[in-house]
Amino acid sequence: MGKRKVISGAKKQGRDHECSVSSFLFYLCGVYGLLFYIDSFAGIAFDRRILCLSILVFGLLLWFVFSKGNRCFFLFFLVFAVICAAAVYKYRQPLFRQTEHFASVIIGSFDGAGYRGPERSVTGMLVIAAAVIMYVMFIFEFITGNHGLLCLLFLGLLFLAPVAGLPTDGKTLFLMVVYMASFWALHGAGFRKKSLAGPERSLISTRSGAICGVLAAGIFLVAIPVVSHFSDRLYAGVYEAERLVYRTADRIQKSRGESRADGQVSRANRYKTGKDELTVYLNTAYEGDFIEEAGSEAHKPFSAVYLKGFSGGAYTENGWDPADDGTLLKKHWVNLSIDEKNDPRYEMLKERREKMPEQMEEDYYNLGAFLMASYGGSENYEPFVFVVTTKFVTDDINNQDHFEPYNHGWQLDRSLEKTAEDGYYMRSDTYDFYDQKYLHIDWNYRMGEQQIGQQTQKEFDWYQESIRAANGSETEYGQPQDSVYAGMSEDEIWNTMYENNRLAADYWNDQLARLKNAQDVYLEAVTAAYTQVPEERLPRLVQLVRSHPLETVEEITAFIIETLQSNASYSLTPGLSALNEDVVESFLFEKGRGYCVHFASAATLMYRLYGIPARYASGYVLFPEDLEKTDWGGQYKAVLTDDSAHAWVEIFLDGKGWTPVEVTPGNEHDYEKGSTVFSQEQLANALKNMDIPKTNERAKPAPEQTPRPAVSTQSGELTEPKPSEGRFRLSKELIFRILLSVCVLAGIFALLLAVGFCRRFRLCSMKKWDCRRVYGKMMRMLHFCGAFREWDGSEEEFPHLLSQYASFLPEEAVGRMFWIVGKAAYGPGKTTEEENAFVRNLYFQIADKAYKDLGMVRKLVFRYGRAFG
Amino acid sequence: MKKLLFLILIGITYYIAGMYRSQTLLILFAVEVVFAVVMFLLPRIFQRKLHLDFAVKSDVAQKDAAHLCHIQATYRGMLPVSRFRIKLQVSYDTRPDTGKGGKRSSSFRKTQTLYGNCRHGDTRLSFSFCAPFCGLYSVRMDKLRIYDYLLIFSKGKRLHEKMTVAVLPNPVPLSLSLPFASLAKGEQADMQTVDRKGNLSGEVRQLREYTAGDTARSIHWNYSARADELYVKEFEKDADLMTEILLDMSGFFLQDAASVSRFYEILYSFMLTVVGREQTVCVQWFDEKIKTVVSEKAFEKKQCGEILLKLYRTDFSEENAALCRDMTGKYRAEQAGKDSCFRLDLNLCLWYGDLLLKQF
Repeated sequence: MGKRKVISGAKKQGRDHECSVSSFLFYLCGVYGLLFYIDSFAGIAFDRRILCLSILVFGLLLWFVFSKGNRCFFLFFLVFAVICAAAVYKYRQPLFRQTEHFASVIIGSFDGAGYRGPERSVTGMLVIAAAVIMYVMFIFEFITGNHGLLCLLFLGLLFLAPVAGLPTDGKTLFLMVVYMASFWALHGAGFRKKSLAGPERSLISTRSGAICGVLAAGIFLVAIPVVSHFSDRLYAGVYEAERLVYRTADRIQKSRGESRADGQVSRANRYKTGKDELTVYLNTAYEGDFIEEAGSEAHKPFSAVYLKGFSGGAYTENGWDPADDGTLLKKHWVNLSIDEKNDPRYEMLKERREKMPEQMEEDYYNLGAFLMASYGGSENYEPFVFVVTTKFVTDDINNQDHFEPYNHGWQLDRSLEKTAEDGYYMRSDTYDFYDQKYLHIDWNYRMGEQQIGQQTQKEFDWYQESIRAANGSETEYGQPQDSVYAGMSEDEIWNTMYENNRLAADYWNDQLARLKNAQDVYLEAVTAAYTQVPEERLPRLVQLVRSHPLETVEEITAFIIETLQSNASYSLTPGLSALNEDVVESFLFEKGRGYCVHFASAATLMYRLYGIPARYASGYVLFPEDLEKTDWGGQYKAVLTDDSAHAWVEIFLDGKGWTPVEVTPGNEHDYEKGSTVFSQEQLANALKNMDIPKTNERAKPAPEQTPRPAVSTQSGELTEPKPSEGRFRLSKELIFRILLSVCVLAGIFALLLAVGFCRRFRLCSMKKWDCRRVYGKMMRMLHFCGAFREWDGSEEEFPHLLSQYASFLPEEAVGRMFWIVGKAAYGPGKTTEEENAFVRNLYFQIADKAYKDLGMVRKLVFRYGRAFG
Repeated sequence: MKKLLFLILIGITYYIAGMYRSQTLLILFAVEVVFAVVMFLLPRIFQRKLHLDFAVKSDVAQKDAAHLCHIQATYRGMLPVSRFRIKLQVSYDTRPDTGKGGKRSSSFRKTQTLYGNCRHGDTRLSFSFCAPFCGLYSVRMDKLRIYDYLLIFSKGKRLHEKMTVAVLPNPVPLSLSLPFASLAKGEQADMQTVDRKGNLSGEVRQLREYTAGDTARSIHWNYSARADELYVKEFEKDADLMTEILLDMSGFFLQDAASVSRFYEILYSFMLTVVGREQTVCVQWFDEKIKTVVSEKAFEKKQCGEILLKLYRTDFSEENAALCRDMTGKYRAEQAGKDSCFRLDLNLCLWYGDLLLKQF
C-alpha cells in the first residue's frame, strides 16, 4: 500500500509526429540544403533540374504514404527497396563509375592538394542516393523524432566546409539553418515523455516549428548585410581572444625566448610574445674616411641587416626543407666535367673532386670574403664587426642555429657559455660584415702588365718618398741599410718590385679564376636544385607565372613584388588555411592576407618558376634604429625580440651570391621593397608597361584566369563547367534575389495571415451569437464531419448519442446544452450570456474532437474554409 | 546543461568562422546569437501571459479508478507556448487542513511532473488521477516552468493553485445476515446483495421540480425547456425506512491511511446496502468542532457520498480524542435499545448494540 502510482500521464492521442505542410516544406529545405552542399565539391556535377524534381516528387510521395499510416509507410519502403535494387542492378556499370568518381572527389577534397581531376556528372547516382537519404531523414524526423543526430550532422558539414576549403554559399546555409531551427522547435514541442492530453499538441508543435523556421529565415536575411559590413571586426574579435589565450598559455608555461629559425610556413595566425631572442653587438674599428663616407649615421649599417638562420631547399606540404649545400655540391661536383687537356689545374681539381668535395663549398664560402677583402677593401672600406649572440636551450653546438649576416667575411670567433640566470646557453659568433652596396666584381678583370706597372710605380714612388722623409731614420722597411732593397740600384729595386707584383697579380688572377669557377659550379648546382617547384600542388601559381613571361631579373623582381603587394595585404592574423589547399595558393588566391612567411614563400616559388635560383630564408632583421650605443666606445647593441623575426627570399646573383630580396609590405617595420641590389628606380622602370594580374575576388578577375576543365558526362560529351562558387559575396544580383525572395515569402506569409485572420474573425464573431445559432453551426459541423447526418439535433435521444460521440464530455453537460438550446427555442425568456458561453465552450470542444478525425484536406477546409474551429 | 552546450556551439561557430574567415559561418554565428537572445526572452514573455489553474477546485473520484482532472490554461499571447512543465504535488491527508497546525503529517506524498502546451485562449488540459486510498487528496501546482521553442532557456514561476479530490470507495454493497427479524417494518430479515442502478423504465408517477441529488437521467428535458425550470420524472415513492449507524471515531489519529480507507469503504458499503433496500441510513458521529453528535441521512447513493465527504472534512484531533470517545460512548448509551442502531469503530468492528456482528 502507498506504493501505487497516484498520478499517471494520459495516453498519447494519435501519432506522435504528424507531417503538416509546413514541416514538410522545412524537411525539403534540409534535403535541398544537403544537395547544394554536395554541389560545392569541385569535380561533382549533376543535372539540377532532374535532381530537384526527383526530390520534390519523392518527398510528396513519402508525405502521401506517411499520411496513410505507419504500416503503409513501411510497406512502401519494401517496394522502394525493390525498385532501387532493380535500378541499381540494371544500371550498375554507369552507377558504379559515378560512385567511384564521387568517392574519389570526396577523398581528394580532403587531400593536401585537393581534387584536381575533371568534373563528371553523377546525376544517376545522386538520384538514388537522394531517395535513400530522404527516406532515412523522413524516418528520423517524422517517425522516431530524432532530430539531434541530423542536426549534429548538418552542423558538422557546415563546420567542415571551411576546414576542407569547400565554398559553401548562402543558399545552402539558409536552407540548412531553416531546417535545423524548425525541426528543433517541432520536436521540442512534440514531447515524448509524460504528457498532458492536450488537444492541440500537434498543431502547436507545428506552429512552433514554423515560427522558428520563419524566424531563422528572417534573421538570416538581415544578418547577411550586417555580417558583410562588420566581418573584419567580428574576425578581429576571434583573433583577440586567441591572442589572449596564447599569451596566457605562454605565461603559464613560462616559456623562454629562444633564437630560432625554420622553414615552417604557418597556416595559422602569429602572435608575438615580445621576449628577447637575439642580441647583436656591433663594433666598428676605424674612423676617418669611413665616417665621412658613411655620413651622419656613423658606425651603423645603412640599411636593414638580414641575419639568416635558415635557408629553405625543397618545398613540401609542411613548408621548406633545410637547404643542404654540402650534399648538393657533392652530388654536383661528382658529376662535374673538367677539361683534362686544357685546364692546368686539372690534377688539383680532380683531387679535390675525389677527396674533398666540401672544398668547393669552402671556396664558395670564401668567395664573399675574398671579394669583400679584395674589392671592398680596394676602396678603403672596412667592414663592420658583428657579434651575434644567440640563445639556445641545449649546448649541442652542432644542432644550434647560427644567424649570420649576408656578405660577411670569415667567421672571426665563436664562443659558448651558459648564463647563470635562466639556464640559456649563449653562443657568440663574430663576423665581419660588408655592406653589399660596396660589392661589385668584374670576372673578366685581369691584372696585366699595365696594372702591374702602375702598381709598381706607386710602390716605387712611395718607397723613395719614405726614404727621403726618413732622412736616415727608420722607415717602414726598417733601417735603410736593413731594407730588402738595401744596396740595390733604382733599376734593381724597380725590377724586384715589379717581379713581386707580377707574382701577386698571377696569384690574384688564379684566385679570381678559381673562385669564378667555384661560383659557376655552384650556380649550376643551385640552378638545378633551387628552381624545382611541385607544380601539381600549385597550378594557379604556375599559370600566373607562365602567363607573364619575363626576361631580366629586374623585371621578374618588380613583377613579383608588385603582384604580391597589390594582391595581398600584410596581416599577422590571416586565419587558417583550408586543409586541402596549399598554404601559398590559399594566401595569394583566396585570403589575400598573410605575413612574411607567406610573402617570402610565394616569392621564392615564383622566382623558381621563372628559372632563377631562389631560397626561402628566415632569421632576424636588424634595423639601424634598433642599435643603441653602449658605454664602450664605438660599440652598438641591439636586443631583438620575436618582433624582429622575419622571413624573406634570397636569390643567387652572379657576382653577388645569395642576395636577400624584400617582398613583404611594410607594416610595423619599414621594409624596403626589393633589396639593396635593385634600387627603387630600377624596379619602377621595370614595372613600366607591365600588366599586374589580380589573383583573388577582392579585385576584378583577370581575363586569363585558369580555365576550369570541361565536364565529361557519362556518355563522354563535354559540357560547360559550372562557375566556381567562390566566397560568399554580397553582389547586386544577390541583393535582388534576396529582396525578391523576401517579397515572395512576405506575400505568401501575408496570404496565410489573411486566411488566418479571416478564420479568427469568423470564430470571434461567434461570441456574439446566441446559443441556437451556435447549435446550428455545431450540427452543420457534425454533418460535414460525417456524423449524425440523419439527425437534426432536436431529437430526445440526441444528447445521449452526442455524449457518446464526445465521450470526454459528461452527459450532464451535453444535456444542459440541449436544455439551454431548447429553452432558447421554446421557452418564454431569453438565455443568459453565461448559458450562451456554456454552449459555445461545448461547441469548441466538440469541434476539436471532430477535427482530429478528419483527413488532411478536409482539415484544411474545416479550419480555413468553413471556419468550424 | 543545454544552455552551456548551446553557448559552446556559438563559441565554436564563431571560432571556426574567424579562423577560416568564413562569412557563411559568421552568418550562422549571427543567427545563433539572435536566436539565443530571442529564445531567452520568449519564456519571460510567455510567463506573463500564461495563467494556470484547476478547472474545479474540488472534485470527487473513486478509489482505484482513473479519474480525469482538468487544468485550465489561460493564455493571452499570440505566439503558442510549445512546452511548459508543471510540478504537481499530490498529498493525502487523513485529516483536513485546519490551518492550526499540530495536524498529523500526510500519509502519502508524491511529486509528479507533467508537460503541456497551449495557444491563445483557454485550453483545458487533462491528466488522470488514480487514488489508492479513500479520503481527501490535495493536488497542488507547485512550480511552473515555461520553455522556449528550442528548449534551451526556461523561466520558472511558483504556483499556489490547489484542488481537493475526495476519493470515495467503490460502490460495493455489503452482504450481511442480521440476527434480528427485520431492519424495517415489512421488509425481509436478510439483506440481499444487490447491485442496482437507478431504474428509469418504470411508470412515471409524476413530475416534480428538480432537487439536488436527482440524477440527470430523470430530468424531463423537453418539459423543463418549456417551463424554464428543471423537472424530474418520479417513478415510485421513496421509502420512509431508516437505519442508524454510529461511528466511533475515537483513536482516529492512531490509524494509518490504509486502515482509515478501509473504514470508509466499510461505511460506504453499509450505507449503499441500506439505501439499496430503499431505506434511509442515518450516520452519526461526534463532531468535536460543534461538540455534538451530528446526524446525516441518506436515502440514495449520491447522498451517501455526500455524507462521506462531510466525514472526510471533519477533524478528529488527538487533543479531543478522549472527548470524542466519551461523547460517543454517552450517545451510545442514550441510544441503547433503539431499533436499528449499528456502530462501526475504527477497529473495523461492526456492532449492533453490544453484539459484534463482524470484524472486517
